[in-house]
Amino acid sequence: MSSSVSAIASPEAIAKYEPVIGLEVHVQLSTRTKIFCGCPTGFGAPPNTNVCPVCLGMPGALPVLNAGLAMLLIDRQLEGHFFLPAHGGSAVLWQHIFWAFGHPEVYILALPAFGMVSEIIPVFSRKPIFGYEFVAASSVAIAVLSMGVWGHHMFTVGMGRPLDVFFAISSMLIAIPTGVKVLNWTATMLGGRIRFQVPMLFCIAFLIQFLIAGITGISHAIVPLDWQTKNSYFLVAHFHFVAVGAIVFAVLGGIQYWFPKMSGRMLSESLGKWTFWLMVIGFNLTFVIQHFLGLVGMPRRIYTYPDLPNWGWMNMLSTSGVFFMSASALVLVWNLAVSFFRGKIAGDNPWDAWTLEWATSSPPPHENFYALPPIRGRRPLWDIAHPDRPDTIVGPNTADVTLPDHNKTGILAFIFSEAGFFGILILSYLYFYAHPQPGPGPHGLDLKRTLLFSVCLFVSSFTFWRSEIALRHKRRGSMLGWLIFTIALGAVFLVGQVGEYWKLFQSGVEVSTNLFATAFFTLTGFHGLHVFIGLVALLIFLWLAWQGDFASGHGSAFEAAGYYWHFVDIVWVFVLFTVYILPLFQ
Amino acid sequence: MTTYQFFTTAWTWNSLVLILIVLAFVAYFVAFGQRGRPLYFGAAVAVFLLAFISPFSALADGYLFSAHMVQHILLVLIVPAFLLLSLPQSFSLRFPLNYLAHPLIGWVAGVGAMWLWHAPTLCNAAATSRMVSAIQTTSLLIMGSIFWWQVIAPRDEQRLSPLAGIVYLFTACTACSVLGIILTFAPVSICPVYQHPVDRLGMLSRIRGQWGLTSDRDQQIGGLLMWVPMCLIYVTAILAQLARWHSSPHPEQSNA
Repeated sequence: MSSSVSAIASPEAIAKYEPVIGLEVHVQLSTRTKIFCGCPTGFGAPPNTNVCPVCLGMPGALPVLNAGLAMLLIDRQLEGHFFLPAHGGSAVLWQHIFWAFGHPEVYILALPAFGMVSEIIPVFSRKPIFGYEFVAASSVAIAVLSMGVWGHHMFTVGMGRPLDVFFAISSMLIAIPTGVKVLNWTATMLGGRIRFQVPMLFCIAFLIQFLIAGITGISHAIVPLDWQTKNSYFLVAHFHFVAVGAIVFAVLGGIQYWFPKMSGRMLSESLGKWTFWLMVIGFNLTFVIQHFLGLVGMPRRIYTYPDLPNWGWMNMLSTSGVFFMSASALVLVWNLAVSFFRGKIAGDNPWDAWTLEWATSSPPPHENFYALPPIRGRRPLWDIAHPDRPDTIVGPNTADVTLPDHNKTGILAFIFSEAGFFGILILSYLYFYAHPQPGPGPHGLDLKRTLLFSVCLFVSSFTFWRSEIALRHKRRGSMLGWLIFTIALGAVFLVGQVGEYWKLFQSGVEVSTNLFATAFFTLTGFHGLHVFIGLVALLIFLWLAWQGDFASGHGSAFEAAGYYWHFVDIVWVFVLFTVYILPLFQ
Repeated sequence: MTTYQFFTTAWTWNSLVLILIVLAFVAYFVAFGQRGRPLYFGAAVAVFLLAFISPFSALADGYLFSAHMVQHILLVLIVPAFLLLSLPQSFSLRFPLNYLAHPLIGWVAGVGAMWLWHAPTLCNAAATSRMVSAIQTTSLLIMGSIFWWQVIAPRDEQRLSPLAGIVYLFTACTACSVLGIILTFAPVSICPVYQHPVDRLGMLSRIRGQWGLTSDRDQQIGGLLMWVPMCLIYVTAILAQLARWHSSPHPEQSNA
């Protein structure tokens, strides 16, 4: 139908033009394909806005945890003092770091589930999703807001009233985009000709249970209520309604929905209904009662409890529900095993769905498509089936496609995450800098020497840039010369840092000496490690360039390495200022 | 002075500010006449007045760091946004001002406006000297306008593409949140003037006592204002970018 697009049927193009909301599902299912989910949609049509927040969230939130874990490891293994109050460290800082990761993490788990539900409900309601733009925008709002609400996990720490108030309000705000989603999913079903097949059943249960999870969630934003319920089974019930009642149910629906695409065979509908009902009964039996258990005072994280009135039968009821859930899981495994070998043949599009994955065979061939079907809206298969009343056209003209450069996209995502990692280390350093401890401090550092070596590092950014220009103009000798110069400058910086460490060791300053030493060696050490890795990368490039014709094919990789090298230099600007220059202002 | 008396009487009808406002209105109508969007200009002026003649201004004037922060946010993010929105469609930056319309300069101006004026020395100076305060106000308005130009310049081709706009806003939001976090958790005073205010209005005991705003708590609230509500302004702008992305038929081509 459209010859202009068939020429560009590469997997990246498909990933890019996937006009669905739940691409990550599709990507993980089609393991035989080479689709690369580096937030590819960020460069093209406006689809798939549940993926981008996840792609943003993961490199945004995980490095925070990594930084915290690195600090914890240094505390435990090298006798550091970050989180030990006895030596001036802060246990509360650990909580801040953990929850700055932990809260976005909830949404990293939830957003893919939202994506699956946004796929399944419209197909089984036989209506396009209601308010697509609002569903998509609310995902972005959730992702960005989730970065500034972690304090609501810490109301019981005693952060003080101002922090409590601000975090309470910002946490309540998250209910708005989440509520928008629930209303849109419900409105999609309204007036639709709903098929009550297993994927849809799971989504309906998801909607009801997620609503309850949201309501108990909002209750935790109310500070005095939170103080009472935080360490109780009420909280346990709440987050299981999110993690199981919402996320696991959506995933189970997703398995039933996409298994035919993965295996080529349908899952049994009747066994699926058994899985569903056993799961609904078991889940609610287990966790509804825990709300009340928490409200009558049962604390969490205990292995046994006193024989208080009503606790016995409530816990028994909760336990009995687990048997139903286990039975449900067994039925699912049985269903998967049997259907994989003897299930009904699925065909390309067993659900009468509209998105691209259903346009190819089940299971998909290696490259997904030999030729892309024409894509002009959010439901390409609908457009093919109903040429008389197609969807409105969205997105750019499919003929002009610009594929993201894998090297640069990858390294930029890496830099984004490393910026978060160093951000946490620098903030922690500043925090401890403001609480000076007895023993060595930043005043003992040799600023002049460090400035000298720093200049080498900064100049190396310039020399690398010259090397890139030489590569672009195919002047091999000049490129090699500037590259060797860059490596030499980087090496001089590293030697300088080793010298500084040696001097400190000589005067008895080690990681375990005091909090300043712990923070100093951690921050500068991790930066030094990054310089070292950069040097290794540059040496590999030097070797490749020495071997022969380098310009053809490796240009973008070289540029990507340059991004990394400049990034490491920029980080040093911040480290230099924080560690060496800030003390001058006192 | 009771709290009620304070909020009814502490309006400072500064004649200089009022004259400037009248001049600004005249200049606006002379320059743009019928082509402009005077409602937005009126909104900009109203918010500016709120920042400078309301009791908030009296509090920001040496009493409360948090009130100063409200003023700061209004001047960097709200007033310039309304000013840019009030410009006519046909408006363009002429040489040499067009050099300011570079995303990097815009970003540095927007983030710098937050960081620069919270260096302890500058923050103190602005809170004690009228002269420095006037420089601060002007610079905040200018830097805020340069920042917003990338997002809400009069014509679409003068702005960043929606996706680049989202990255621009998100990173600026992060950079300002980091400052907010530092202010919130800093154990030392960032702007020591506010620790021991000169009690011109006889309000200090009420602020510290009845309102419960000790200087520590005051700075914490200031930091939190920069961290949480200010991020909401950026989030709103990000959502507006998304709306623009979804509504533009050829997003790739809109990048000027």
